[in-house]
Amino acid sequence: MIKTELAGGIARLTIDMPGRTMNVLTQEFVAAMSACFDAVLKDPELKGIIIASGKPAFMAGADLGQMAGFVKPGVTPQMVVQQAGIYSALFRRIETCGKPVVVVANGTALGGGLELMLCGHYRIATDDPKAQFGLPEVKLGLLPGAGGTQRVPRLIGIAAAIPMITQGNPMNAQAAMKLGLINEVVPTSELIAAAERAIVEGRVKSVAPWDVKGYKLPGGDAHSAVAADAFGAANASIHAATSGNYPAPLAILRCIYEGARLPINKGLRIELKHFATLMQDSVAQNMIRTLFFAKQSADKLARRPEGVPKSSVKKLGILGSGFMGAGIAQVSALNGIDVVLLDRDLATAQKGRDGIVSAFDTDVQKGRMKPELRDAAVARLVAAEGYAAFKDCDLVIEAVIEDVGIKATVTKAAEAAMGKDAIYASNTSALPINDLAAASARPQNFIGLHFFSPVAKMAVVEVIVGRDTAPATLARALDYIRQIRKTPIIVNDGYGFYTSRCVDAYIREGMRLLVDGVTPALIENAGVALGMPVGPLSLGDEVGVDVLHHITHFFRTREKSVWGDDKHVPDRIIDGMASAKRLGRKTAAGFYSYPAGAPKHLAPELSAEFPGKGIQPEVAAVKERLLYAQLVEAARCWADGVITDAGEADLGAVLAWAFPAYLGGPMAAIDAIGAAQFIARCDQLKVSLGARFEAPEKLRDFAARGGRFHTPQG
Amino acid sequence: MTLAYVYDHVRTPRGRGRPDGALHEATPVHLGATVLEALRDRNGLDTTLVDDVIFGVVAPVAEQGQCLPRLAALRAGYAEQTAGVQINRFCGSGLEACNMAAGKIAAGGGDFIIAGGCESMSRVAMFSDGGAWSVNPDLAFYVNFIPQGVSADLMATLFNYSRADVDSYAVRSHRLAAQAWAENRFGRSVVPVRDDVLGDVLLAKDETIRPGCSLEDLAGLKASFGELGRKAGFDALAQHRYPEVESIQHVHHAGNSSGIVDGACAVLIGSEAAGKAAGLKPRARIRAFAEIGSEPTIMLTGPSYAAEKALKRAGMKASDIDLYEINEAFAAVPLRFMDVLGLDPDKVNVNGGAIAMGHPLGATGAMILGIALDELERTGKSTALMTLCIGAGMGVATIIERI
Repeated sequence: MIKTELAGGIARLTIDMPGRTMNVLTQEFVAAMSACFDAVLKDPELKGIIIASGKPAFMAGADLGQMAGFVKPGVTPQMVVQQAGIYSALFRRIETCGKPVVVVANGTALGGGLELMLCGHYRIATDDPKAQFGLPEVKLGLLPGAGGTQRVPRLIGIAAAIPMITQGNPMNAQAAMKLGLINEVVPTSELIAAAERAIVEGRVKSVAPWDVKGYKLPGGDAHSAVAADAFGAANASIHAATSGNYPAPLAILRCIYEGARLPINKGLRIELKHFATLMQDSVAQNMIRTLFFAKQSADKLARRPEGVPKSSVKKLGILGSGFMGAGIAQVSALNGIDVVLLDRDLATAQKGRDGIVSAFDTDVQKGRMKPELRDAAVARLVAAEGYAAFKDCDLVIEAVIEDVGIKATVTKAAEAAMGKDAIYASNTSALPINDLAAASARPQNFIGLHFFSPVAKMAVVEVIVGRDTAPATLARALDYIRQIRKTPIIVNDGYGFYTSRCVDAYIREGMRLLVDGVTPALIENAGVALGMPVGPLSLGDEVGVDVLHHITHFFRTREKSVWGDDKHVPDRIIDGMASAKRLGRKTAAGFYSYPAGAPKHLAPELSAEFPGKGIQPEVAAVKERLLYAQLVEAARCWADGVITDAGEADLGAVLAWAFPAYLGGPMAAIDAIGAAQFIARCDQLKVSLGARFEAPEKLRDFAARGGRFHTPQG
Repeated sequence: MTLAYVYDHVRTPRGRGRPDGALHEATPVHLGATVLEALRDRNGLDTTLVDDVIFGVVAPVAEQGQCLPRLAALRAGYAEQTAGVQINRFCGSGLEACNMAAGKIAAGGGDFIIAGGCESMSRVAMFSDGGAWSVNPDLAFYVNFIPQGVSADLMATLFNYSRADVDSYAVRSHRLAAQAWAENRFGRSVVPVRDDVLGDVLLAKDETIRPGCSLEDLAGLKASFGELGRKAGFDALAQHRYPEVESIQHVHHAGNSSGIVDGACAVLIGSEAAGKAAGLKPRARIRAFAEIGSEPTIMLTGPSYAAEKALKRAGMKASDIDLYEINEAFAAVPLRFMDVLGLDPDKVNVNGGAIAMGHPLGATGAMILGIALDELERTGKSTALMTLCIGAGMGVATIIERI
């Protein structure tokens, strides 16, 4: 696992963990590294130690798989402190070994990897711009538990440490050096020589600065003017942004604040206590399950049908060069795919292409994109005049208006021009694929690829498998999603599929609250307090009331039951706004007014029509309604067979409509409530609020059998 | 139980709390010694009879630290027997000092005690004592910390005080303070601050009053806490606690909030027996006092609760009080106080307040007690209630009755 070489009094320890593509922190690693130190420190001639990696990257962090042990039944937080403390203890031992230690990173060092670097007395990193450095633990609801919250502020000061650890964004080596985390940046080939030189020239001390008497934190301790301001600002902005739903950023702030005045050993102890608490908390478990394991599985195309040769799209046809079509074209061209854009005429297609080019130009101007990258992507984009341009496309994605008739016409025309093995996808957000595929001469090659707006920013694509969609078509569609570096979730066909139904349920419950006399401000604030990025009425304006209008009437044709009647009570609001052309942000009027040059505010028409009736409910009750509306809809999608994989359903919810990540996703949330308790609560809500909260029969059976969507951890 | 009486009080004028303010060169010790000397000299007080000096000092660090009241008493030439203690209940400190003095005397734990406060905000800046409230992450999250200015704007939003409402109140404060000075209503109690070398007067009158201040003058001022509230997340935190609020209406600015000033105040409180022995005549009796805690995010609605608690202790109703002094921390505070208690504005802050004259944090509470007593004597009325809103959701109130 660790190769030891000794030359000229310098011990070089090269970490190369067998059977893994990346080095990670494991118990075995700790044992091996401890043994290496025991061995080399015996050498009386030892001048210094170099720690390096034998992999392309330095170290990715801790092995999240091993962490499952921390949440097994009967494991106390004190036991986690003990078990997780081995990493912190090892790093402290390295730091205090009495010899100069240089850590060289030939590639990415994230999380525990960067923490290992920080325990060295001197740090050298490769100048490879792809190498990333940072402490991303917060993004999974954790904190750096091997010294990160203690050594970073001691190295670079509290004010710089706070955003680095509470936001968790990675940086390149140059930025890390500028921040003071890294001492030298050199080409990869010169790393070892630079390390040896630093030791030989006596530039590496054998103690950390904080172990020297008289050490003071750069910028002062937690109550220095600079740090107090930084804490004041971070406390407010983080508390506001998390609505108190995410414990990790607060725990990180506490570690920095409380640890800053203490000797480092006591600071490390505080960090471990918070680490253990977070580790066992449901939020981290939810975030790790969904954002790490489920995402990793989806990105690896774990559900790709077996036996289909790996494919790639060389040329993509886009039907409809509007906002969505152009967005898909843009990301595809950026990922090396030739794209032909087709619209009703060349001028329209050209306009779509111009829009993409100008988006690229903006990125270049703002320094977000290299000009060469833009030039290459632009060269791959062609505005086409007719369907003949689809002749040699591997995939055509249709993104025209949501109208079955128009979609049928263009499908036929496109298929007539396409090669017979090419696949065809509709970017519909709600129309059943089976209905659309009825127009297809080869429905086995027909699939749904539901992209989200704005395509460039949204990471997920909902892949809809129709009745006749062939496994090979699904496999090839997934290969394409991977090619453009998006994350697929696979669902079965149905009206509105999965994501559109659930996001509609959220917005719809917001409108229902209006009907029930709850004030708009309380509804919106409750949505934010629940952890949604915006309130349901705000979201309605962003989606567009015209879109809602189309969806709601389409859904109504499929939702004929008693609960459907209740669910569609707010339709009159949508109808009224649609006929008054109050379509949301796009018309500067909707649930909100959008005065030029001033912040939006709730529309006076809304407050006039729904002034709020009677005693207002507690915010907790409003939050519960907004949550349960989504959970019940997700449960119906599951009962309808639209979603089959709980991990993907949770991942899709978080990525597609920003369902609160701290809850993991709708399926995890139902698990956390307990399926039986969830149904019991739905039954109560059905009585007090209406039939729309009726839990599906299949869930009752599931609950009666003690079903869970996710197997418990550990 | 022994009753506590107010025998006399003096205050310094309030000087603009900036380097160009007239009192900037006066040290806190000098400000404190000035009022202690004046109180002693005009009463011919034998300071061996004074048990203690209780001063509110809200930033008790640097030259305001180390138990300023004892040091100022020594410098004022008080008897070595007179002790001193510094207290901090934020903006309520000066009145709290009076209440503590009254309580000690009532309990038989003192004969004469001087209560008051001292704050040189130009020399020891507000918040220079640090503290955990906004900085300690655990606490700041737990108590949903927001700055007072945003709390004041939250009050204005919840209780529908428009920018015109708060500005009108500010104009009134300046007008009434100017009128009070024009009629020399403060003359009996304000002692000039002199430079301590040549004895020239540094300041004889409150420095920040703008007699002609109009709504138009104030209309141009930008709300002070809007950017902070929106960008730093404090508005969102206010809404998190008050989810019925769509957005915070930012209406407070430097012109309708209390001014940052330098000043000190001393009130001689004693038992009846102590007064008799010293040959002094009491001017008022302290009838009741109270302090309260309330919701800390809105923070500034405490005065009505404190007043109600003190009224209950005194067996009185709000309408029994002839005169109210409610500290003008922000204009929404007295507006809300008057609304809750249903008060006639003509009974409230009739000589202006901290919006016009400033709010030397540790001293203000004692100053408004003195101002109310002078006004009772001037008008021949009987009872007054003083109250202040206080950081972290506290409130303090005192009821006095003229003798």
